Amino acid sequence: LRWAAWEDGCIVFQVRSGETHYLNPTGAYVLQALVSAPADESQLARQLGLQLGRSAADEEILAHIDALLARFQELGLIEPKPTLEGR
Amino acid sequence: VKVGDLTESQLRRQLARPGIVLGIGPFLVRIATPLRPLATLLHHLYADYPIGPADGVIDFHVRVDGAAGPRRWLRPQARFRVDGRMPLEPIQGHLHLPALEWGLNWCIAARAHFLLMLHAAVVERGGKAILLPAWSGHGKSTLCAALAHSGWRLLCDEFGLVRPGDGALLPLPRLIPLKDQSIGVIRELLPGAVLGPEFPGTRKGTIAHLRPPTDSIARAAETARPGWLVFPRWQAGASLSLEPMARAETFLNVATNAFNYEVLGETAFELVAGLVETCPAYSLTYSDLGEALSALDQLTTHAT
Repeated sequence: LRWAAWEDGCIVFQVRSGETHYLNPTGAYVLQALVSAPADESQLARQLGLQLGRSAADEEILAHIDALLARFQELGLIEPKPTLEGR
Repeated sequence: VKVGDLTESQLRRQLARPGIVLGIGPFLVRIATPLRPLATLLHHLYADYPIGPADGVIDFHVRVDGAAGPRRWLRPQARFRVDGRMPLEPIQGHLHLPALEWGLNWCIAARAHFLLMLHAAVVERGGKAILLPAWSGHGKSTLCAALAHSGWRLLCDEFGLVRPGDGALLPLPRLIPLKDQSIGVIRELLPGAVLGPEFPGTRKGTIAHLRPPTDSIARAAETARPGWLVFPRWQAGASLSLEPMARAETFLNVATNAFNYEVLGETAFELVAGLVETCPAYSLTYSDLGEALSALDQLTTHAT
């Protein structure tokens, strides 16, 4: 991925697909966290909660993370971690 | 040697066969036409273009001619060909000059993928350029024409050509097509400017072409650095507004405005990101051309 980040959001260029995506600051934060280290929904919710000064158990944050991960996966920006049983 | 150094009949003969090779910005174009009225207009409006070396590598071999057979009289057409092919539908016969200009635009947009091409006017002063990306009907050409006659050098009215590698802007000084009421506005504002005839009945309304200032063609090899991104929008009765734009929003506007962002892929991403990083961006809404010129003058003078 190639990044260009600014205060109002981030533009990500996906070299493999040749596609360009706009991410709002929250989306950019979550994707950057995943690029630095794999994480699951609850870990991401905790990190984002800390960032926003809200509880990790906040339903809204969890729902937001779920939606973001689904969208990132749809766009091919992330992949679920393979398990022993396969994906 | 420039086109204007030839007599009209010399030019006409050369255009008829084998065509004349002109240096138009970074391109060498061979133009051929048997149409006398078009030859007359080119003698007038293309007077400052340098005649290129006939043995140079020619980018586009173009030809504008009429329909063959009885159609020539019954329903005259202007047909544009490049390298012997006709990629665009013919248009009405009296629109020979618009056919040439639109056809050349098509050639550049379809083929010049060694450059990032923005749909933008570009003018330069003191080495720094304002890029004016805009969609049709937003008043880009009118503003560009006025700037090009107000101390700014015209790089191009239609293509913002960005060179990969160093991000320099390449000049492509061409005729500026003015539409409908813009023709009167520019005639009034710039009485010394050279305009061609009005062509009514095009799909874009009535068009008249403004000849680029002589200096802009003479300096067509001088690149410029991008300095500002200004997205103009003419709106009847609007009061002047020049608002800064956020960077990610600017990126999206520049990328979607480019002719070949997808074609260039990562190179385009890098170039657009570089432009957005280095150039402050503004949204300009105006109805009064004089006010818009002053605002841009103030913006760029203050910044330098």
